[in-house]
Amino acid sequence: MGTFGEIVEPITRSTWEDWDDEITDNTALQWQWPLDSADKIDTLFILEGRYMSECVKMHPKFHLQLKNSILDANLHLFELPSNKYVCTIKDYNLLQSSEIVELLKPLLTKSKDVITILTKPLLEYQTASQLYSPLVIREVTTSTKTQKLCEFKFEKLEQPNIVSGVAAGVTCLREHLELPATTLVYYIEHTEEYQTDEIQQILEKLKIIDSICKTKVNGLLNSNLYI
Amino acid sequence: MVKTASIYSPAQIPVIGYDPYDLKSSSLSTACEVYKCDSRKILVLQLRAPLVHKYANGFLKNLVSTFKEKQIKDVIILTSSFAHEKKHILSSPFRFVASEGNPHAENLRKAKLVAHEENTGEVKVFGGGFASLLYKICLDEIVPSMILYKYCSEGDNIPDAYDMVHNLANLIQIFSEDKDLLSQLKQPVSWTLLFGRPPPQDIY
Repeated sequence: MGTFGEIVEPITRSTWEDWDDEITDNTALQWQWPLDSADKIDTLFILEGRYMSECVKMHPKFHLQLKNSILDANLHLFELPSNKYVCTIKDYNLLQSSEIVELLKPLLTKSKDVITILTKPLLEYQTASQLYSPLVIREVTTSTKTQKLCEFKFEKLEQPNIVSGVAAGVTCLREHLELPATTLVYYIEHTEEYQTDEIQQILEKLKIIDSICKTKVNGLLNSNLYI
Repeated sequence: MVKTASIYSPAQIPVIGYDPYDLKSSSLSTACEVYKCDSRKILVLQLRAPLVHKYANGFLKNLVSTFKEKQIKDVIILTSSFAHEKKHILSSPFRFVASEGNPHAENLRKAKLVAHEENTGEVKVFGGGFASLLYKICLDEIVPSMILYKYCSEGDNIPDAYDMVHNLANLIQIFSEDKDLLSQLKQPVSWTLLFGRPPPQDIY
């Protein structure tokens, strides 16, 4: 659903690399420290997007221990008690998605379960329905189903909606490894504000955060609007 | 055509969703998938996302060596080029480049397709992405190959897709001749919402 008067054109090739020009390949991404993790991981949570990263950052981190980072991709890996890991990532280059997934591969191959949660602007949600909802939650799962989200009932992501980037790469790799993974997509109107309780509720239920935080960040300070 | 494989590689920008041809399906579709048709002995490699330049060469070399291993007789690369690159405005918007030993030479002549013009000695299809690189690798590996491309503008490319299929059908027999060509094509669901969602009812 676009803002009234907004022209929504199909995405052009502008976000891709220009194959007709000389392309300088970016330097390789790397972990800040050698990656060290348990031999078997119960669950790996990957939280993608600014909202998710900030949400984790704003909560007291008594139980979240920073393990490692990929600074150039704004990726941070935390360890939770009971053999679970949380990875937050925001503002990365889409072209580096597969490289990031390769760096996460050692964790992805030994995790019993992988759950990725990401936010996307509601504008990008494609549906023929004329009904309006400020929040749409959809799920994409591998053929091998995850057990962790059984208590939640999410609708599957309808075609032609797609997920791209790290969340997609992680789910795709797990599908090829015949291991379970679930991607939850939260289509929200304002992807950077802190009033989306539904996201915090699931983070709380998954024991990634302790409680629902009511703090709102002044969006004006982060915007380009000057008064 | 039946989906037979899905390919994972760091050379692809990852994309996932559910089967674009079956709305009820719960099977994952990824950035790179292989479809086959036994009766026509055709394999289609569909890439739904651009390749990452850094890893493309290795991925495509691997792909072509797999083609050789599987004894695939020839490769046809379908792509597009920027409409503004078309020099002769009254000519057909289709161009082709074919390697020596290409089995479609006779059909190309019959279809009166225009050959790609190149003065630099190296095939370059502007806006065609990795097509030129894949063609070059096929030449190096001595796999008969051909690029068929159309000059396209940005926007609704559905008519271009139909045009491409029509031209391809003139070169190789991919459809039943007893039925109308259009009736044998299946549109992906994404084509129905090419310009986004319907306008919100609240605005009226």
